[in-house]
Amino acid sequence: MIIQGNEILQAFAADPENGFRLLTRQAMRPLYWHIRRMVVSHHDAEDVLQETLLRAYRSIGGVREGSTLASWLYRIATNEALRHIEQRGRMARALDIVPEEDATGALAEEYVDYSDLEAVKLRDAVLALPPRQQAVFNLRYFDELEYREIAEILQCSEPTAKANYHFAKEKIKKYISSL
Amino acid sequence: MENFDFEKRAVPSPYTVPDGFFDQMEERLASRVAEQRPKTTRVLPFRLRYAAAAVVAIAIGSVALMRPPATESDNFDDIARVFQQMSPDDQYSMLESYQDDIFMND
Repeated sequence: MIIQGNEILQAFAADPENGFRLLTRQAMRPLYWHIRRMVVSHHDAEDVLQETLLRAYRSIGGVREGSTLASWLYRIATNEALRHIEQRGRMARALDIVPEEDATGALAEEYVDYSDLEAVKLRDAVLALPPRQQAVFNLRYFDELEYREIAEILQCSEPTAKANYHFAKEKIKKYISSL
Repeated sequence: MENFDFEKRAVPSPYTVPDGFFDQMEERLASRVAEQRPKTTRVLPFRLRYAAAAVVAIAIGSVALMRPPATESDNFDDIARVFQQMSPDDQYSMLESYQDDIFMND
C-alpha cells in the first residue's frame, strides 16, 4: 500500500485520531518490514514500530515543507531502529551477552523461515554491513526508494547514498561468494 | 554459493509475523492515542477565579517583596532556552502535567 501523504495530513487536520488510524493502516506494514530488516527480532521490531508511530502522532506538525510524509516516517523509523541497535549492543557488551546462533551461523530467531536458504544468506550478508549502510541497501533494494528519498531519510547527500549502496552490493557479493 | 543476482528483485524476506499481528497493533495504537487525548481543561466558577487570582496576586506580591533582585537565571529567555533543550518527550510530559494547573490556565 502506498503512503498517501496529503490524504493522511488532511485527515489529521480534521480529526487527529482518525488521521492516525489512516496513517497506521497505510504506513504500518512498510515501516515494520524496514525496521525488522534492521533489528531482526520480531519483538524488537514491534517495540520500535510502536515508538515510531507514536512519535509520528506526537510530532505530525513537524513534517517540513518539501519533505514527503513517507520520507519523514521512514526517517523516524530508521533513527529509532539505529538507536535500538546501538542500545542493544551497549547492553550486550555491558552484560557480556553472546547472542545464540543457529546451524547456519545466523542469529537464532523466532518468526524466521529458515527453509529459504537464499533469503537467509542475503539477510546474513546485509546484517554484516554497518547499520547505516544496511539502511541504505534495504531502502534501495527492498523498498525501491529513489536515492533522493534515501538521502532525505538518512540526512546525507545523494552521492553518499549511491556510493553506500554500491559499496554494500560489493560487500554482499563478496560475503555470499565466500560461503 | 554462486554470485548473487541483484537484478532478481523477487528474493523474499525470510521474516514472518504472528497471525493477526498487524490488526492487533492497529487497535493497540488507536487505544494508546485515545488515552493521550488532551483532557478537558477544568474551568473554575467565576467567583472562584477571582479568589484564585487574588491569592496568586498576594503570593506574587509577597514573594516579590522578599526575593532578591532578578538574576540572569530568572530571565524568561533562559527558561525558554532550557525548555528548547529538553527532549520532545520531556517537553510533552511537562506541558501535559501543566494541563490542569489553575495557576497556568484561565
